[in-house]
Amino acid sequence: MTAIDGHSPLVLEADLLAHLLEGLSYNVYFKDRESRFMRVNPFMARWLGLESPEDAVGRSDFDFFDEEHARQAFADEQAILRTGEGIHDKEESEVGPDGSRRWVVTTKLPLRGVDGAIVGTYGFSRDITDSKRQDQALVESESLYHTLVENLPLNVFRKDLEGRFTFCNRRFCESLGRPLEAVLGKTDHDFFPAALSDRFRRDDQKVVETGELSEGVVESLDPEGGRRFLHVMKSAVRDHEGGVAGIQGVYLDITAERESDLALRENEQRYRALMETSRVAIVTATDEDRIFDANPAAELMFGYTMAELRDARLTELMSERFRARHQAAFRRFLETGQPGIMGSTVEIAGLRKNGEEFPLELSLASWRSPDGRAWFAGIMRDVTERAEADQALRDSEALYHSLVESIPLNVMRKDLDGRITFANRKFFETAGSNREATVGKTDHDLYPAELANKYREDDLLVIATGKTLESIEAHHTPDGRTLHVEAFKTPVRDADGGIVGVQILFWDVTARKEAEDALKHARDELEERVRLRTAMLTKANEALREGNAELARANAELRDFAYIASHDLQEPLRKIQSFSQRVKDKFSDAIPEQGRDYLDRMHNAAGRMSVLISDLLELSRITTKAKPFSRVDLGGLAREVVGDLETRLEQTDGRIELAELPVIEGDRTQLRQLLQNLLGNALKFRRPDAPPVVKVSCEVEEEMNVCCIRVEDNGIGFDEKHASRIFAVFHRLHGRSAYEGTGIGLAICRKVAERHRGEIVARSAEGEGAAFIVTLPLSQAEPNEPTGP
Amino acid sequence: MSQKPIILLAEDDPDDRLLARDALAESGAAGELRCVENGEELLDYLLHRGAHADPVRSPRPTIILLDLNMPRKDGREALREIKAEARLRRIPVVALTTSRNAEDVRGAYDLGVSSYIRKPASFEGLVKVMRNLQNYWFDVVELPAD
Repeated sequence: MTAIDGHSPLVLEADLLAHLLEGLSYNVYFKDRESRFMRVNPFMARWLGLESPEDAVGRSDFDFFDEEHARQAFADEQAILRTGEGIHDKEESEVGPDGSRRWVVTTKLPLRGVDGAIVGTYGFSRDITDSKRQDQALVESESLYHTLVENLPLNVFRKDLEGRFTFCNRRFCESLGRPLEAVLGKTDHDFFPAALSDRFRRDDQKVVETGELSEGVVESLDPEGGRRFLHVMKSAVRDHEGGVAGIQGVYLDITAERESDLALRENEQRYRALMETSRVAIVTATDEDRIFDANPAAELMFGYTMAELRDARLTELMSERFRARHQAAFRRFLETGQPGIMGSTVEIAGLRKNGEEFPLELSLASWRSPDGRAWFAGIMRDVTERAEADQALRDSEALYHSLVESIPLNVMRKDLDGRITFANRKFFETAGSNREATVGKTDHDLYPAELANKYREDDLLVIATGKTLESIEAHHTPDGRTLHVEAFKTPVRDADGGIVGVQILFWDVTARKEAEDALKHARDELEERVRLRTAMLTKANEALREGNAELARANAELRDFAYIASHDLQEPLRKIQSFSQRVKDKFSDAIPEQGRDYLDRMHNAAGRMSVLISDLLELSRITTKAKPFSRVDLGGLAREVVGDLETRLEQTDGRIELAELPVIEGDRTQLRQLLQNLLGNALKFRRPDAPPVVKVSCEVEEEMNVCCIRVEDNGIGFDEKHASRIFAVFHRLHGRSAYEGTGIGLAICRKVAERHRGEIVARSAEGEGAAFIVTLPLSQAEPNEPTGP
Repeated sequence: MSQKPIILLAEDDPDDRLLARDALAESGAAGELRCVENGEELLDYLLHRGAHADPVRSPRPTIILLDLNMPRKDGREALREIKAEARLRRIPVVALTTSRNAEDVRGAYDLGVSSYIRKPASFEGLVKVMRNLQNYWFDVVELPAD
C-alpha cells in the first residue's frame, strides 16, 4: 500500500472502512462469539430503531427482533463459529422493533482475529420486504386466477405466438373432449377443420398485431361436427416487459340462445315476407274482433290505410249481410273451441271503404297464443274476375251457339269414337237431314264406306297429333255433280286440355275452286306467253350479238381497208409512175411528142390518185386512229399551225390574226388537222388580187359548255347554196386547174367536229370571203365514243 | 468469189426487183445485186440451206435490203431471226419498204435495222437511194471483216 498525501497507509485504511460503513445502504454488523453486536453501521442502527450506532454495542438480536428470528439467527451464528463456514444470501423473515414483518437477504461470515482464530461473526443484509410482498401477491393472484378460470362458466385458453396452446381450462378441454395434456402444445389445426383453424389463426394474429381486444360471435364445430355459436373475446398476453407473448381467449357457448333467437327471427321474417308480398289480403285480429295486423294487399283491396285498418273490426270488411253470422261464429269458437267455419273457405260479399261490394273469397283460421288469447286470421281474395269469367264463359257459350247456328258453314263435332255429338243447322240443310238422324251416328252410317274410312282416318290423325288438318276434297253428289269441299278439322279439348273429340268445319268451295282453276289456266297461258316472249327476246339478243360481231368485223375490215389503201393500192400507182418515167427517160427519142405528153398525163394521174388515196386514208383514220380525249390548248395549237404555214404566208404576203382561244377537251392530233385544213383553205382560196387576211376569233359560253371558233377570210367565198355540200367527200367547187386539192379537207373537218360532239357550218357570199364556224364542247361530259365508223 | 460487194435484196414484187436492178445499174453500180423473194429464202440464203447450200454461189452479202411486207416469212420475222443468229448479226440490214407507218419505223429499229428507207415513188428517187446506199456502206463506213 502506498502513502497518499502524507498519511500512513494504516490510518488511511481505517478511514476508508469508516467511510464505507457510513455510506452503505446495507446493514453491516460485527458480533462477538456470544452474538452480541460489537459494531453496526448507521444504516443498520436505523434498521434496529436506534439513533446512533453506538447504542447497539453489547446488545443482541433478542433485544430487537421477535424471538423466533433471534433464536434462529443465534443458532446460525453459533454454527458459523463452530464450523468456520458462512451463510450466503439467506432469506429471513423477522418482526422488527416497530412490530412489522420484514424480509431480508442476509450473508453471515466468520470474523477472524490477527492469528486466524474465529473471534465472532460479521454480516450484511438487505431489505427485500417490498419485492417479497410482490411475489406473495403474485402467488395469490395466480391462485385466484386459476380458481376463477377453472370455475367460470367460460372456456378459457392461451396460445403462444405460434398458436400453440399454452393453457386451457377444464371446460375448454371438455369442449374438445380431450385431457389437458393432449391439448397443450397443439394448435387449432389439430382439432378443427383447416378453414376454421385458419380463421382462428387469423383472428389470433390480428390480436397479436394490433394488441387490441377482439370480440365477436364465431361459428365453430364440436367434436361431433355439430354447429356451435361461440361468443369469443381474445386479448393479447404480455410478458413482463410489455411485449406480446401470446393471446388469451375466453368464450361462451351461445348456441342454444342463438338458435332459439334465430328460429324466432326467421319465423318473424317469414311472416313479414308473406304479409308484404302476398297478393291475397291477410288480416289478423284479436279475440275482440279488433284487427291487429294487415298486409299491403289488404289495404289495396279494401281501400283503407294501414292505420285505418288497425282501428277496424275484421267483420267490418264484409257486407253487413254477412257480419252477424261471422261474429256469431267467432263467439262460438271462443266459447266452445268448435272450429265451425274456421279453416274453411267461403265466398261472401266484401265491403270496400267506398261502400262498394265485391265477391270475396274468405278463408278463416284461428289459434291460441301461449298466453291463452285467441287469434283470428282472414285470408281474402277478390274474385271479381273469376265471377266475371264465369259470366263470360256463359256469354261465350251462348255466342258460340248463335254463331255456329247462323254461319253459312257446316259445323259438326264428333267424340273420340267417331260418333257425332253436334251438328249445326247449315249441316242439316246441306245433308237434307235433321238432328235425330244425325247425332249419335258415325260417318259410316251417313257416307259410303270409302269416304267414311277416309274421314275416320283424318279424325284419328287430328286426335293423335292435336293439330288442325286442312284439306280440300272432291265430293260426288248422288245427282252426279262434283262438289269441292274445304274442311278444317281441329281437336276438341276439355278444361284439362285433353282431347275429347274433333270439330269439323267445312264449306262448299266449288265456285271458288272453279275460279281458281280458270285462274290457273290463265296463269299457265300467261306463263307460256312469257316463255315464248323470252325465247324471242333471247333470239333477238343473239341477233344483236351477231350484229355487234358483224359490226366489229366491219370495223376490222375498215382498218384492213385502210392498210390495203396505204400499201397495196399505192404499189401499182407507184409502178405506173416509175415505169412511165422509165419509158420517158430511156426511150424518149423513139416516142413522138404526143406520146410523151400522154406519158406525162398518165404519170400525173397516177400521182393524183396517190394523193387521193392518202387523203381518204386520213379521213378513215379520224375514227380508226382516234385517241382518247385530253386537255388541248387550242391557242397553242393554232400558233403551231400558223408556224407551219409560214412559207405560204410569206409567198402570198398574207397574215393570220389569232384571238385568244380556250383550252378544251379533245383529240389533239385531230383538232390540229381541223385548224390546219381551215387555215390552209382560207389561204388557198384567196383572191388573186389581194393578199389573204385570215381572222380567227372565239366566243366561249361557259354555262352552255361550248366555244364557237370562227375562221374568216377575205378570199373568193362561195355561194351559200353550196354551204352544206362543201363538207361532202370529194366535193369540189372549183376546177383542179384553179385550186388544187382532193375535196377531202372539209370532210375531215366535219368528221373531227362531229367526233367531238360539235358541228361546223360555213357562211359566205360569192366574192366576199368565207367564214367557217366550228362549235365544240369545252369538256366532254360523257365518255368519248368508242372507235368505230 | 466475186470481187464486188454484194447487195442482197429481199423483195417479193418482181417489178420492184426489176426497178431495183435498173436503178443499181443506173447508179453506176459498185456492188452486185442478189435477190430473194421472201423471208424464208432470205434465211436459206444466209444460212446456206436448200437451193442456197453452196456458199460460193450464195456468198455472204455486205448489206441486206429488206422489204418488210412479204409473203411466207415477212421482213420483221426474218429480221428477228437474223439478229438472233450470231453469225449474221453484224450484217447491216436496211429496211426498204412502202410503209410510212410510224409504228413500222419504230418496230424495225427496235428489231435492229441499220437504216429505214421508204421506197421512193419515182425511179430517179430509187436511183438516188441506190447510189447513196452504196456510197455509204461501201465507202464511208468500216464494217467488220467477216
